[in-house]
Amino acid sequence: MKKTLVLVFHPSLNGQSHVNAALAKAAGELDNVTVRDEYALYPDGRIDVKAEQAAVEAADRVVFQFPLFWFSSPSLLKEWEDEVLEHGWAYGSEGHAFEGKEFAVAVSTGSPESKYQPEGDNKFTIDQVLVPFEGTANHINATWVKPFVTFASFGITDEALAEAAESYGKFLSE
Amino acid sequence: MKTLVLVFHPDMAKSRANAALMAAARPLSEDDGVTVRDEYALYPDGKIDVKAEQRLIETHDRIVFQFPMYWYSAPALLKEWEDKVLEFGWAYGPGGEALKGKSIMVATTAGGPRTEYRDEDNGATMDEVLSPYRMMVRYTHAVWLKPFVVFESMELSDESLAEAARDYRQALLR
Repeated sequence: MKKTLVLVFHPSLNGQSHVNAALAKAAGELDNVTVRDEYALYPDGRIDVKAEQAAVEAADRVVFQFPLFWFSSPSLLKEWEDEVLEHGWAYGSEGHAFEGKEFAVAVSTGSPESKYQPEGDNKFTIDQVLVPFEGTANHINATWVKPFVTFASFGITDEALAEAAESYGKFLSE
Repeated sequence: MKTLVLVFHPDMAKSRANAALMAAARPLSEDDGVTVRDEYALYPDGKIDVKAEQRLIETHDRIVFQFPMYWYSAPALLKEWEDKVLEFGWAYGPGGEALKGKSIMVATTAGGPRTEYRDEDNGATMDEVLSPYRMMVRYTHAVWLKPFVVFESMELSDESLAEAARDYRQALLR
């Protein structure tokens, strides 16, 4: 069975988060899934690069889970990419850490999917929003997996959230 | 027309292309209406002075985000800047009109050649890679300007870099 690493980037997972907290909880209940609350691990923003690299190396699949902030991830995930994806580890002639691993994004958006359409308010689709992550996956020779998206997270009903958490569990177990 | 250039490079001392662009912008004075700020130097601990940044935005007509392309996006501090400075009630939401009608330009340097940003390679053009910024501009009712892009920034000859810097200066004075 595949070992999955879920890196959760929410500045307040055990406080203000509703959707990401429920998704992280569902992930944590699965066998073979390790969940790390990155903002809780690094409140000062200083990432332990070696520890993160070791966590990636032990996994077959890596999932970045986060709420969409300004059509991208919260800043700590960008810091994680800038620091952890080192030359000679993630890319370059000696950088093979992600080769053969699956790489996915699990993202929640406040707005419904109808806004993420060419004719919608945001004009771009969620796939277009996530282009930088797909490009990163390609650059490090990971296998890009179709993202898990929870749309309309603002004011989501308990029922819809339970359904999303169940789907997320299935997504992570595939 | 007053232009604010916010430069996001984590290590300007080691930068070649961004340092050259910043040097081309810097001699432009208050008289030219151009203000240049080295954001990583201002905030080495990553803690952004939100009010100071907001005041600068309010007193300029055009905002330039200048940065090297890292993982198909900006260095992490620009994302932190967006997450913190673009507050609800200031940049968006009721009463949030601070960016409305202002022009926003991305000025970026990419290590790869222009051809890396074509469909056949990693599936994303530079325009697509920049779509999260485009969406932010749309969301805040600002005006998106054509990006200033320097490709192959690592291999550029001194001559080509000097030419890029001259073009950049012209773009800022326009």
